[in-house]
Amino acid sequence: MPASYKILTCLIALVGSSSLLLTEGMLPFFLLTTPFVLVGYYRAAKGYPQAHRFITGGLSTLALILFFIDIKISRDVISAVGHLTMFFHAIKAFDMKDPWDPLQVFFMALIQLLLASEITRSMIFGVIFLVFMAGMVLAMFYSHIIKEGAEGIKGFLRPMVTMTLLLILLTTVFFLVLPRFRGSLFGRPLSKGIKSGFSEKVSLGSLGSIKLDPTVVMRISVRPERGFKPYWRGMTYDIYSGNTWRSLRQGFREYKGLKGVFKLSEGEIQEGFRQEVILEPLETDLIFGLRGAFTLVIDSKSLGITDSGDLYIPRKKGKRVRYTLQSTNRPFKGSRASPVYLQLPEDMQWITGFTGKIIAGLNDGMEMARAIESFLRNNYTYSLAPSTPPNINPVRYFLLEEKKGYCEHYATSMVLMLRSAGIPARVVSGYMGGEYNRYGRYYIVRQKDAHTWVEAFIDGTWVRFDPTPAVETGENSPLFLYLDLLKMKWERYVVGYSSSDQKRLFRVFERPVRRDFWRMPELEIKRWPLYLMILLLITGIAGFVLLKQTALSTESRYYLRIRRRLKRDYPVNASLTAKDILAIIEKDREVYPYLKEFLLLYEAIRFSNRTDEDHKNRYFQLYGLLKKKLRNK
Amino acid sequence: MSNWVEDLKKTLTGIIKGKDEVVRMAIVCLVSEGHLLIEDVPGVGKTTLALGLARATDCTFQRIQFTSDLLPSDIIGVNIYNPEKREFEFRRGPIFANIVLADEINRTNPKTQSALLEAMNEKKVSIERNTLPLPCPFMVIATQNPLEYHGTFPLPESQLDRFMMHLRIGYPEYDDEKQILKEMKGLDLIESIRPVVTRDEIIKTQARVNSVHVDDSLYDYLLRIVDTTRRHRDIRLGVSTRGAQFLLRAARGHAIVDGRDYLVPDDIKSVAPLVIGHRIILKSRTYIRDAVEIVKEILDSIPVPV
Repeated sequence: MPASYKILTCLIALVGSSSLLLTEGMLPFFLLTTPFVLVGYYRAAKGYPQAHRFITGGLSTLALILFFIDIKISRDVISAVGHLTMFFHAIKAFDMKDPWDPLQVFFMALIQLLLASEITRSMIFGVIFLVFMAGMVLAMFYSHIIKEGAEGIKGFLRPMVTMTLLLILLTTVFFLVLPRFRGSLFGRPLSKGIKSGFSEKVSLGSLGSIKLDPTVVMRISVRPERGFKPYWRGMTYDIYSGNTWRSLRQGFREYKGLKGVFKLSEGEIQEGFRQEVILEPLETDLIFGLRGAFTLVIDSKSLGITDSGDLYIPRKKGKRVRYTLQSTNRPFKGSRASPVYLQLPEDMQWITGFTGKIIAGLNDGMEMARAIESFLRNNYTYSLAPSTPPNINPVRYFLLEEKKGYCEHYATSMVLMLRSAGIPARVVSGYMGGEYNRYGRYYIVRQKDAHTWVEAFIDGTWVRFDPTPAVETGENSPLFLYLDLLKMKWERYVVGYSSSDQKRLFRVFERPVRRDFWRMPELEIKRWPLYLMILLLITGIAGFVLLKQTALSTESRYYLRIRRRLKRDYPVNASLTAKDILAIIEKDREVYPYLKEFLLLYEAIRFSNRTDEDHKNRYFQLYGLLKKKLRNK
Repeated sequence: MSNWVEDLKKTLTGIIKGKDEVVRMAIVCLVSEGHLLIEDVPGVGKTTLALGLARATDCTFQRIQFTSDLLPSDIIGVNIYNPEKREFEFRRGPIFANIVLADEINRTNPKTQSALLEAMNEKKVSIERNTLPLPCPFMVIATQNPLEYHGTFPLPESQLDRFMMHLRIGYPEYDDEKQILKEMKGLDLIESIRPVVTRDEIIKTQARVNSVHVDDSLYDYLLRIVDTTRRHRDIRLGVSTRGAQFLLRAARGHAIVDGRDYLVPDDIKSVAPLVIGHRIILKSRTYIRDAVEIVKEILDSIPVPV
């Protein structure tokens, strides 16, 4: 084994290990095996004596015992196997003797990769997988050279080309044929989930810390209109008491959907915004979208909906959710507002007087609401860290003393003020805006985009008001946006490659003439793997045939054909010489004399440095005769 | 051209019944100027083969029985003072013959062994300041008894390497043995052998070995065999480059014996077990296995060029 082969083995071992370590599913303790791996391969490459097999055997047994203890304690097979492979890599690094040893390392690295794919769905895994594939091709190729020796470019090229083609082909086929599981194979949660701050009870001031969190919550593909300012509606809150908002989930009903398609409003299908949403694992059953949702396509059996239009789906912990929502994004009509929306807490009666001053002289509900909204916007300052002394009514403190606060304070105040003026109102929480990625035409919504606003029931419709003053937010660099786009595509087409995508792909074969079908935007992207596959298949076959043809002369091909024919009846293989074959066929008096002459002539033509046309003619004649004789058998 | 080979074969198989392959390989060895090591139990025809080969080829023959007290001078020769001429004169030892039978070579001490092996390698003898060429053709047929180890000096690998082929004769087949018993002529038979070839003819044929055409793919085939012995899991030491050279030369000799002036894969494959077998050292854990068996296994795993 040359040193470079050992170094390559070391690299593959490191790729495998890092794929596991980067998933964060491993204890950082296992990072400590890396120096052992490095030292081991360094010694091997330098040609130092390798560890005695008693030592490696003993250590391996120890690792196995630890493995069983690991399983017993953690009851987590995946990470236990992961730990075992890390140990083995470190041990194997000191045991590079046979050509067999690197193969074991490759195998272990492959296992690590599979485990990593089980634990993580992150894009870095794709990169590692590519590196691993490249390394494997190189290694196979290298081991071939080592085994075959320098046979010139002919023996060199063929295995490399075929190996590469085969690998690419196989991965493409796997990609197209196997839909990815949602989540992981063994139902392992991807991560603990993001704390959402959306629960049925929310006390005032709890959103403050979330507003500082830049974690991405969802990505929403939508085609915005001019001056579009999206409010991704989540939950409505109905009752305020004791500084806490509560959602009653009024009129909550559950639907069983057919194949994941839910019609949310009666009547004909309306024009609206189509939102494709990828929601990160949030600790809530809520799903988000623009108001006035009328259809929802989601991979779920049931759906919960309230009178106020909040959408709930039963959610597995730690799983991403992907859905398509169509909404009007217009104020929606309500028949009659529930008396709940006029509720005021006992200790808040003072607010009636406070509001009266602002709306003095106004009669129209809309005008009153506008007045309150602009009053709050103009006279109060936005601050994420207002002082909140204990034991004081926070709304009163906000309105009368501090005059600083954030969306929660503004929205709560406005709702209570509207209610005191006799206008039914409620607090709505969700996300506002987000960063628009113009390269991928989608919004990146983060925790800090969490927002609360107001809906007031005026003239039979629920109108949205947002009393919170606008806050300037910075924009990310194009590089960041590109990377995020890549992430989203990965999420959509690699991780989230589902059976419906597959069906769509196979429909290509069914109805290739339907023109509007080709115009579907998803398919623009989905067609390339098919073309690539066909192209690869053709080039692969052509390359293989070409290489095989050019490498052999006509005589050799005839010889091979006869040998292949003999193989059917006799134990003939590639390691036999002409004489060996004759010794096997000897008993067959019918064929033997012809075969003998044929083989002797073949050797004379193939291996001597003379060319004798008579020999060649006789050879081809014998070929025909032999074929006939063999066919008659 | 090579009809003498056929005659020689016929003559020798007449005296060593049922051992056509052994006889053929001995002739290959002669044609390709190699030396032969025969390892087998006593009484299977080692000496008969050597003696028959010498007689049938019109060659001078010497037999050296190796004993533990044999000295190098007993092989090479010695300077003796001639009182008449008043000078030392060299008296040639038994090595100055065309065919030398070194019987039980492992019975003598290493010093004597190496003297013989040096002469084999260089095809000449140096004594004091004089260098004397050995006769041409020159071939050493050494025998070894594999069963007796007591009081023997086994040849080290570096010296085994000097022998082109390592042959085993083995017991004859039942029918052949019966025939041998019936005829029971023994040495008389050898006495009756008439030469079928002259020394000049042998030298001429030997000169043709190097001009045997070798297709490029056959070099690859040969190297692949050699290379496989170097990385085989049961082999500690594979075939050296000199071993590869010997293999090629023996294969060329085989082609000549077969009446061809070009090499075919079979030439390499049939001589390889005899040429390689004694040049590899097995790992200790596989000492039970036979090196020749492993070489055959290797040969069966390597596709021949087409």
